[in-house]
Amino acid sequence: MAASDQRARTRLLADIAAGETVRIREVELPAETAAWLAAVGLSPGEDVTLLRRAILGGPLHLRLARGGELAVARDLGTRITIEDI
Amino acid sequence: MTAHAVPTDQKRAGEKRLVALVGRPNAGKSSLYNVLTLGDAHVGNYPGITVDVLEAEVTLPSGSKVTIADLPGLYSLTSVVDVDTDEGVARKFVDDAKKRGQVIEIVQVVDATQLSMSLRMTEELIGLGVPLVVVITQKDVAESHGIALDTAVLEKELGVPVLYVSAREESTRGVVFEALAKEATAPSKKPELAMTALAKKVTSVRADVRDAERRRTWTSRADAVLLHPALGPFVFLSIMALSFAAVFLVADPATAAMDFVLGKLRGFIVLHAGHGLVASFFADGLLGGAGTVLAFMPQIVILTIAMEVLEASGYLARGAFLVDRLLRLLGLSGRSFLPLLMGHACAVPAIASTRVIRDPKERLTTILVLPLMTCSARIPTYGLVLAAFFGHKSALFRASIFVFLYFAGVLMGLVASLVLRRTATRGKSLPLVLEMPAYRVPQPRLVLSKAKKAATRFLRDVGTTILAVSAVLWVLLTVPMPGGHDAATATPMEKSIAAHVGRAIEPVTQPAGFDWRIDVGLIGSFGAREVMVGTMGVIFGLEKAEDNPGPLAQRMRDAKNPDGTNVYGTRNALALLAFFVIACQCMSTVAAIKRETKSWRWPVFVLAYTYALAYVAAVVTYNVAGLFS
Repeated sequence: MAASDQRARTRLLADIAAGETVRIREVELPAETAAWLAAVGLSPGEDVTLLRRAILGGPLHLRLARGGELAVARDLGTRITIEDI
Repeated sequence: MTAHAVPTDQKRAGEKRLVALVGRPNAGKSSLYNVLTLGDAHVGNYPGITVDVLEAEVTLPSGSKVTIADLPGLYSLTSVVDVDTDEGVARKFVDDAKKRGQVIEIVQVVDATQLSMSLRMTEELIGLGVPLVVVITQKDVAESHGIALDTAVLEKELGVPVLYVSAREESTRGVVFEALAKEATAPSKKPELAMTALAKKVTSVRADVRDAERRRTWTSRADAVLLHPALGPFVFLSIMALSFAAVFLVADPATAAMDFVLGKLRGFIVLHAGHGLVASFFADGLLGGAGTVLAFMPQIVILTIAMEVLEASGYLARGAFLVDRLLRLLGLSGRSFLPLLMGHACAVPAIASTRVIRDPKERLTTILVLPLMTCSARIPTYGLVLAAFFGHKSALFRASIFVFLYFAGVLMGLVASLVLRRTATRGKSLPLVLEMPAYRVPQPRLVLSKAKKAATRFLRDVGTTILAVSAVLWVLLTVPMPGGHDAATATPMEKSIAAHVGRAIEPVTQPAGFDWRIDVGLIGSFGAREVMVGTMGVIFGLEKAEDNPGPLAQRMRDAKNPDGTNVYGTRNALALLAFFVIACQCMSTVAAIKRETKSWRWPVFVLAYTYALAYVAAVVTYNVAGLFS
């Protein structure tokens, strides 16, 4: 079962540890939202570092390898899959 | 795309070129705008564009004049063009100028440390077929990070002029003007290189500094404390409370001084013009009304400065990060935080600023609860009531009540949004994405120019609306009610038109402890709540002006009923405060809500729910306070 294997290996941006740097694999959101996110700096192939999480499931504080830092809702992080660099 | 020079017939004398500053949020657009215009700014008038676009006219060294407009920050001009967001506004601005046939030139402001992402927008701008100059700012910051840019290569590849500056340096003005003075032509070709590759090609990072950068920079060190799970929220609440307390503590002596001056002025008028009607009109009507309100200008200036410093330093984004989870529980998000906080200065610009909220339901909810935030126009009434009824307590005690009133407003807003998101604006929200800018030292000039603007607006209000209302009120309080049947012992004011109207609604407001005088004040301040103090000034100026020449607060406290008891006590004061925390007594806000929601439904809704809630709160406060007294 290759598909489920792959799913098992797929990690979400919401689940990485603070301090970890990963590469965005896929943004599983409507095209319109994904295009806007890409303009902001979150698109497949981009490297991001999780600096910290806000308490009680609050937003993720990310640093983009391209420059700049973002606060991103945790919900959004569950729609973005990542891969190790 | 072919090159097209701007047709000469459009360059006829008198037709000004329009230069629009475009860039990502926090790219340093405001700093550049300020350097270019030397702080000059007024809100431009563009049909169909409802968000404030600041603009100023400047003269280039060549002698030609151009208008510089500062567009709202945006990430992309082409993706997700929703006319109600900042991106839509910027797009419409450019399109409209093209349609009008106005000569428009775009200056893209780029943060040197975010070149790669900004070039994405450069590509979009090149596609617009409008003359473009790329101004890369934060040269000083980039260099301290060891980043060097090859702007010559960038210019060649993009086919548009590229400048590399520090927006905070004075010399930047000359450099940018020189570029603007040149013949403006639209870019002739699409760049051949992909933008990511281009950014890589022109950027070099020195290895030794890269190591240095790996050390914690100032921003991440500050964030470690300010965004700490336990420490962060504590610091956040302290900063908010301190800002609001500062407004009160610093401005209190200033207000007292102003009161003193007004008292002298009043004495001067009475001394030289006697107690006639004309003297009364100036002393009680204009001075007592508009003059009393004027005394609250220091508070408004200090609050504006506090807000601006927090915003310009980059701390507000941290606040949004910290409170996002809480706001989410209530159906809002960290994005609503900035408009809600701005609402503490004035709801009108805050309502316009809700355009940064991309979610329509969340945006509407924020607009609907914004009038509950304690705007600076409430300060005069709070100040007056505190001085009148808590004047004998310590300044710290009064400052605490003051801060409590701010938090009461926030609490009401949060409860209202919780209810609204379950009823009127039910629905799922878009998730939060918010830029966290590096901390910066706010530029005093930028902050002061905002403070000056707030002061001017307030002065204009006092000089027009409040002065007019004070004058009208003086007339209504002086002219007897036609056909009124008053007791022979009634004072002239008790026989007045206003007194009759006030007494007519007194039965309704009695449960809240409001007498006819306060009712007259509430009617007068329906359109603008800052009128309340002016109204009280006129009423108490006319009443007992002779035997109690002290400040308004003192006269209110000492006001006596015919039977010798005090007209107002602490419970009346608390009820009045409760009413003012909630009621949307501001026609400018109502108009702004109408403008942003494009319907009368929501402004009417806001008026109805805030007044109903304010009345209930006042009645409850009055009666609960009665149990303790």
